[in-house]
Amino acid sequence: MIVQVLRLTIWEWFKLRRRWQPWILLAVAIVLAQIGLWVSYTAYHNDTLQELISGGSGSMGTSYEQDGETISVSVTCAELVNGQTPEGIDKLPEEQRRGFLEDMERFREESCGNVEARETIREGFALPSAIPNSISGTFDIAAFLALILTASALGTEYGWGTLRTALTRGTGRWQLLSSKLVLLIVLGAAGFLVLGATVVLSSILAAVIPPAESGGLLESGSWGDAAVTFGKAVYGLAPYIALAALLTVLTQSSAAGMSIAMGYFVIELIFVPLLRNFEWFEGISEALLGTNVDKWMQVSLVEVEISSGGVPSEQMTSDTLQAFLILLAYTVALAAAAFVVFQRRDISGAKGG
Amino acid sequence: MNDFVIRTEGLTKRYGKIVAVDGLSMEVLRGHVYGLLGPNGSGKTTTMGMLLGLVRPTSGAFSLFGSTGRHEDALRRVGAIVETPSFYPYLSGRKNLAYFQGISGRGSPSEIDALLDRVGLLSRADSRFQTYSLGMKQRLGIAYALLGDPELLFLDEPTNGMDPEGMIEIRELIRGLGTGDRTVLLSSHLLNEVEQVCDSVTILSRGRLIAQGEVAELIRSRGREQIRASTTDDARAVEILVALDWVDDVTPRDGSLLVAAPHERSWELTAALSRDDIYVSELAPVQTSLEEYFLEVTGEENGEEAEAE
Repeated sequence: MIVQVLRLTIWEWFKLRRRWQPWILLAVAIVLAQIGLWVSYTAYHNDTLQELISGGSGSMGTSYEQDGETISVSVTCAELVNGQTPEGIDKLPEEQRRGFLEDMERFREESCGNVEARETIREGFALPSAIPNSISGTFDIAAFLALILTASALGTEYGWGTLRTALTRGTGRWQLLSSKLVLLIVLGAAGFLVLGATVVLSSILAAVIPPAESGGLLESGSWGDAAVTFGKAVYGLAPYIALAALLTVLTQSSAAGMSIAMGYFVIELIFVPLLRNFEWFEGISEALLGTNVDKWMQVSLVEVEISSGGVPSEQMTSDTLQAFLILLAYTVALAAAAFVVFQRRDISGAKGG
Repeated sequence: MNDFVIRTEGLTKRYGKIVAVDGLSMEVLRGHVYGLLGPNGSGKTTTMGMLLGLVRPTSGAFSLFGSTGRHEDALRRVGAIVETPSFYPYLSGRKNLAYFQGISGRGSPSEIDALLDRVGLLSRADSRFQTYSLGMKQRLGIAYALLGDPELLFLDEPTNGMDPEGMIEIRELIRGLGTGDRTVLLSSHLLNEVEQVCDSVTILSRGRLIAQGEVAELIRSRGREQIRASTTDDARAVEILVALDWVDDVTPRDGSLLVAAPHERSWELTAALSRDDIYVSELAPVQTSLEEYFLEVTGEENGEEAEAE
């Protein structure tokens, strides 16, 4: 049985790789990851952009008249979070300097809370942290693309009537559906690997092109974190693939399956954060797919190490375990329902859509 | 030895209140070309769908090759085209066949070109399926059905969309396929096609079996002899002929008269007419065709149905 599913999976790839769609979707994911990486690179070298992308509110300054000469001192949020001393501050008299430093500290607390330190931004393009950053950063769009690919890979078989042609070869229904789901998971993993490879190439490029003060190539994050994020991303895709598969076999249409799956995804993305403000919604929100995928993707090895000196905090492990189990339950339940529906329903001829 | 490749018993399929197939019991012998006939909506495709595992029967049972067990195993010995052949539009004919051969794991890649050649599609083997005409799609469907040299073939309207030359070629091919141990179940609207190709037929109407048996036997059982006559005055000829006690019926059809009477009394027919100065310009014996038989039995079925309602 397993050999048959594997054979079917190889042949699924034979025909899927000859379609434009998977390659276009992969290109979209790669382009988005590259945009993220190069924005980080540019922000690292440009204080204004650094503030702009991280929501800081600009700068503060003071001026002082001494012996007919005006001394102006100003500081930006980016300079503050990067620990840079404002230029000209040593020219201020002791009292003014102390006052300015107090104002500066207040400004930092009130207005620079969201501004990321240059080191944090560097994680976006330096290796190996750029890999988990890119994977996490593009996960939502990757999940969205996985919904499209799954609904299309299954739904077009109904539209073209090829499901009927395939099943009359004695392939077996559950074997055929299994091979499609296995291939989609493998493609998801392969997609993240290709995305990671392009990030590595861009990171090398970022390290060698001027300005050269980007720091060493391998000085940010850990390879272990990259591997864990990769594994978590693939695991996080599974319930979305199962969801799109169920909706497509229910509707027997790629357009309907895709629309409903994408609709659910977008509604969760937009409305759940809004509804979370209501107390009654908290319990519901905890059980939703998107909420648990977010929880699952948020915790990284780096965060665990930073937060508790190498030992994962109790809260973190219980949240992660809970998210892991809820995602597993979603995947199993949705895939099982897809198998039952696919096994039981009649297969009609071509529908043309 | 049980030599039935298909056996159904009380096979029924309901879609809500609509009964697509109603308690169908039929048997198909190995090594025959078997016709499945019926008007539109009579349940032919649904029956094929159930036998191929695409449609779940509401009740009843069936066996393929004597086995009622794992259906996939039996289907590995089957080749089928149901309704319009459906293939991947972006793949070539050759790649489509390679895919379907690959997923079933039967046959060898070398047979693909041989099959494409057999159905006259080798020169367009590398063109995308979406560029094929309906006739070419049918040819590819037949090549697909023959992949892996199946013991049982289901062919649903295989000459649909073909030009006359192509239809003759495919009929010859089908006739050749039904020799030896291979069995062909052919569904077609073209009754002369079925008559030319099939040894036996099952006729369905409104999901029910209304006749089953060898083609020649069925025609003989119902057949009455007819004579086609063209006269100088058809209207008066009808009046004269219906009065003869050995004439069962006279029907004007296609500019001449169809007289239900024994062929050996043709001379009496001409004599009777000439007595009233009506002369026969053409006289020919008519054999009952499967088409006439079919129209007769399905007409009766519909009539009974209307009476019952």
